[in-house]
Amino acid sequence: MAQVETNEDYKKYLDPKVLSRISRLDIKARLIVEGYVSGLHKSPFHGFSVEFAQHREYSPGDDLKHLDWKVFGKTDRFYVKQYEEETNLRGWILLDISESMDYRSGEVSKLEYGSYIAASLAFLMLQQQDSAGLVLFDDQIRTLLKPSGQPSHLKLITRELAEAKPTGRSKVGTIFNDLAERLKHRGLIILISDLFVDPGELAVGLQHFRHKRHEVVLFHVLDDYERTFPFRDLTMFKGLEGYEDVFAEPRSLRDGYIAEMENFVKHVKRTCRQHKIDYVPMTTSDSLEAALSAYLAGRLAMRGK
Amino acid sequence: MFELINGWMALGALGASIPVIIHLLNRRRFKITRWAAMEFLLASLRKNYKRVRMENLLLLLLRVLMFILIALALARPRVTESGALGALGTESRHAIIVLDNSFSMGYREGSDTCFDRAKDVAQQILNSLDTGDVISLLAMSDVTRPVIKQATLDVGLVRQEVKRIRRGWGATDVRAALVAAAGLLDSTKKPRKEIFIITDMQALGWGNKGAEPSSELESALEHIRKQAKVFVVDVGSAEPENLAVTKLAPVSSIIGTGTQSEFEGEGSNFGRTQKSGVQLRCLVDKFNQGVKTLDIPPGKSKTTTLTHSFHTKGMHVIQVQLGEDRLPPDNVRHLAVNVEEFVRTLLVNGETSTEPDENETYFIERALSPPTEQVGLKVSHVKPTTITEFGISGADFAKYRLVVLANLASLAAEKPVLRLEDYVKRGGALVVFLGDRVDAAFYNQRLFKDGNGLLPARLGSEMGTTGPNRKGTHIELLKPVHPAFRRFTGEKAFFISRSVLFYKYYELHLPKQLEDVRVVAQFHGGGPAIVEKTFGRGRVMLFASSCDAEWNNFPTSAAYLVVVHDLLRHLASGEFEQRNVIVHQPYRRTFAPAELIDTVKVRRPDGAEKELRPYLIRPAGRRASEESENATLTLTQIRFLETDVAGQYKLELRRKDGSRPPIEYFAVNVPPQESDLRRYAPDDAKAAVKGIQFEYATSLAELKLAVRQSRAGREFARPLLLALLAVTCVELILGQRFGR
Repeated sequence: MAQVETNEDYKKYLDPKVLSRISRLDIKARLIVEGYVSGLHKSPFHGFSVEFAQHREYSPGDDLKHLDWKVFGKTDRFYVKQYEEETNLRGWILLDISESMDYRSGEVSKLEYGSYIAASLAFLMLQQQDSAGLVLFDDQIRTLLKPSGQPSHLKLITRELAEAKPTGRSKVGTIFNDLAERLKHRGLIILISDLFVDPGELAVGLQHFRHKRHEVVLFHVLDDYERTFPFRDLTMFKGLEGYEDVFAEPRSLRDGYIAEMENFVKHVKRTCRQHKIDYVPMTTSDSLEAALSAYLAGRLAMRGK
Repeated sequence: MFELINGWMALGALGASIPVIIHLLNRRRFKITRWAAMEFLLASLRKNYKRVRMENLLLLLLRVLMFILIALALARPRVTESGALGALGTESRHAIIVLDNSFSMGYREGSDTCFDRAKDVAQQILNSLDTGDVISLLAMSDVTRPVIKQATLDVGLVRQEVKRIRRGWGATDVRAALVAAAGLLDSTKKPRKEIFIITDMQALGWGNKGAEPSSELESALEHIRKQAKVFVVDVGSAEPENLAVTKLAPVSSIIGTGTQSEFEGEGSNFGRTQKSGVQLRCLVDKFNQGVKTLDIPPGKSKTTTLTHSFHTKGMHVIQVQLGEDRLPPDNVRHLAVNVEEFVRTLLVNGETSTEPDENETYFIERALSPPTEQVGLKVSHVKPTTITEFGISGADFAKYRLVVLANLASLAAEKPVLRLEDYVKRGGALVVFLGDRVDAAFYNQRLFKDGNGLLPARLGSEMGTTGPNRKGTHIELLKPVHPAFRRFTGEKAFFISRSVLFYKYYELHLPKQLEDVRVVAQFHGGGPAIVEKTFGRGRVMLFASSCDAEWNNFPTSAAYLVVVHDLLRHLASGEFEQRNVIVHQPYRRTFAPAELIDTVKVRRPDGAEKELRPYLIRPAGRRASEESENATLTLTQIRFLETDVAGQYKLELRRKDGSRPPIEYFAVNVPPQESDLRRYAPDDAKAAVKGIQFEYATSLAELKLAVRQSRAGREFARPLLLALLAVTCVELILGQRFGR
C-alpha cells in the first residue's frame, strides 16, 4: 500500500497538464555551461544534440562539414545545415525546506508549490538530456543529489522532494558559499525559496555563485496572504522558525507590514539586477504552469536577442 | 437648576459601556494563525505600536461619547433658570388655549363684548409663540368642546379658528375644562406646557368655595401641576349688571283649548341697583300678547302670572322677553306647549253593573268629566274612556295620559302587565284602586314583584268591615304634602283628615327599598293608606281602598273633585318636560309604532337643518323573543344632540307613506344660573377649585409679564443631537482613516 501511495506522490509533481504546456517550449540555456560558445557556429561538445533544425545559405567562414551536399546536387546552391543548439546543461535545483516554507493560507504550502516547480524543471531538463541535481536546505544542506542525465534520476529527485520535511531556520550564508565552492562545473542554479533570510548573506551567496560563473534563476515563492495581509480580526500570530507569538490587530498593522514587505522585495530585486540574476516572483495562488511558461518564454525571447 | 424631562431615559447612558464591553469581548475572541513572515510583522508592530494604541483609544472614547450623547438627548435635559447656559438651549411649548364661550361672555361694555376681548387675547397669545410651538384650542362652556384637539404647528389655522369661533349659549364649567385640558397634556412631548384660560371669572363657572374636587378633577389638577403652567386671563366686566328671564313654566301641566291657561314668568335682577318698570313682554306663536311691568330689587326675582286662552289644539310656543340690556342672550325664554282638546284617560272598570252608579268607576268618571248637559259649559278637557277588564288586552295605553285600575281582579295574560310597565316607564301615569274583587296573590306576584314591579307596596290582609255597623278610620297626610293634596294644608286639612273615612281597606306592606316609594297618606294609628312610586319616567299611585263609595266615603267628600284633578295634573306632568330642554341637553322624542314615522327634519333657530331617522328602542330587561311577539310595543325614538343654540326648534315629521303630521316644536333655553354674573377674585377661584395654581392677569401687559417670568428655562436636546451628529461624523472619518 505504502508503495502505491509513494508512486502517486511522485506523479503529482509530474502533473501532465503542467508538463504538456511546458514541453511545447524549448528550454535553452542563455549562457553556455561548460564552454558554451555563443551563436550556432559550433558546439564545444559533440554531445547528443544532432537534431536538424533548418537550412541556411552558406556564408564565408562557415564550417564546410555542415554543407548539405545533397541540396547542392539538386539546386546548385550552397546551403548549410543548422542544428538545434544542444549541450549538456548541469542544472542545480536548490529548494528551501525551512519551517517558514510550510506556511499555507490555501491548499498549497509554499514548500509544496516549490516542489512542483522543482519537479517540473527537473523533468524538463532530463527530457532535454541535460542533467539535473537537487539540493534541499534549511540552515544546512539536508539532501544533495548530484546532477545526472539518466531518466531514472527523476524518480530519485521526486522522491527526495516528497520526503522533504520542513524543519529549522533557513540560513543561506555558509550553505551558498559551500555549494559555490563544491560545484566544479558551471551550470544553471535554480533557487526556490521565500527568502526569509538575512538579506546581506543572501546577496553575498548569490554573488559567489555568479563569481563562479553560474547562471542563477531565483523563484521567489510567497504565499498570497504574505503579500496582501488580508487579516481583519484580532489574531494571535504563531511565529514559525522560532519567532515569538504576536497578538495584534491586523488592520492597524497592515499598511506597515505591506510597506516592509515591498521594501524587502524591492531589495531582493535590486540585488538580482546587480548580479544579473533572473528574478521570478511567484505566489502560491498563481497558476503554476503559467508562471513557468512565462519564465521560459522570457528565456527564449532573451536568446533571440 | 438642571432637570431631565424623560429622567429614566438617562439610564440609557449605561449604554456607554457597550463599546467597552464589545472591545473586551473582542479581545477574548481572537483567531490563531501560524505565520511565517514574522519579521515584517514585528517591524510593522514596532513602528506602529504607539500610534495604533492612541487611535484605538480615541475611537473607543468617541464611541462611548456617542452613547452618552444619545442617552442625554433622549432624557432631554433642561435648565430651569435663564442664564448664560440657558442661551445655548432651545425651548418649545405646547400652548392649550381655553376660550370661555359661555353666553355670559356676550356681556357688552362699550363697543366690545367680553368674548371679543377674549378673542383678542387669544390672538395675542398666538403672537407670543415661537416657531416650533404647538397649539391646542378648547371652547369652554358647560361642555368643553375641542376646536383643535390635535396640537398643531399651524398658527395660521389656529388664528382662523379663533376668528371663526362663536359665543355659545351654555353655562360655564371651569372644572370640566381643566379635566379636558389635562387630557391634552400627554398628547405632545414638548418640554413646556402652558394652559391659558380666557374667561370672565364668573363665580358660578368655578363652583362653590370649599367644594371637594371629584377624583377625576383631582388627578387632572395633579397632572397639570406636574406638567403645565396655568394662566387665567380675566376679560370680564368689573361690576356687571344683568336682568334676565329666569323662568317660564305653565301653572298646570294640562293645557286645553277654550279655557284660560296660566303661565308663570320670572324676571331676575342680578345687578346691584333697583330696576323699576322692567317690561316683560309675552308673545304666543310670535304674536304680542301684552306687557307686564315689574319692579325688581337688586339680587331678587319677581314672578308674574301670564294668562292666555288657546283656540286651536296642537303645538304652540310662548315667549317672554325683557327689554335690551348688556347681556341679551338671557333676556328671552321660550316654552313649547302641546295644547290638547282632550286629555284622554283610561278607566278600567273591575266591577260592572247594569246600574250606572254601581259601577266601580262611576264617581271617578264623573269627577274627571262632569256631565256638561246640566251646566251647558265646557268645564273639563278630560275625556275618560271606560273599559272592562276584557278590553284591557286591546287597549293602546300610549294614547292616554292616565290609566286607572279600579277593583280589577287580575290580568289574565302576561302581555298587558308588560305593556303597562312599558307605558309607565315612558312617562305614563297609573292609579290603582283596590276592592272586594282584587286577587291579592296576583297583585303581589305580578305587579309588586318583591318591589321590582309597578305596585308601590305589597297587599296584606283586608281590614275593617262594610255594612250597617261599619266603623271608619281617618287618614292623615304626611309632610311634605303631596302635590295632589296641596290645596288641603293648614286650616283646610280637615277636608281630608276629618271628613274622609275608610271602612275597609287592604293592609299595605312597604318594600325594603324605599328610594322610589313615597307614602302620601297614612291611616290614623299607622299603616300606609296612599302610596306613590316612581317607575321609570312615570308614576304609580296605590290606594289601599276602593274607587267607589263601597269601602270609603272619599268619592262623596267635598275634596274629591279637586284631588282627582290635581292628581291628574301631577301624574301627567312628565309629558311637559320633554318639550323644553336646556342648552346642551339632548332632546328626545319617542314615537308610537302606529305613527310610522320615517324621517324627522330638525330645524334649529340659526337655520341649520338636520334630518334624523328614528331608531328602534328596546325596553330594559326585555328579551328579543318577547319583542317580536309584541310588535305593537316596538317604539322608535330620535335623539337630537345639537341643542347648543337657545330658541325655538322646529320638527318636520314625515311618515313612511309620505304624509306629514302637524309640525312640532321644542324649545331650548339658556341655563338660568349663567345669568348670575357675580365674579370671583383669583383667591376665591383658587378656593373653589381646590389645588389649582395659576397666574392671574387682567390685561395683556400683565399676561406678557407673567408668561415671560415663568418661561425661564431652556432645553438642550437639539444641541446634544447636533453634537452627536458631529461625533458620529468624526468617528466615521477617523474609523475610515485608521482602517478600523
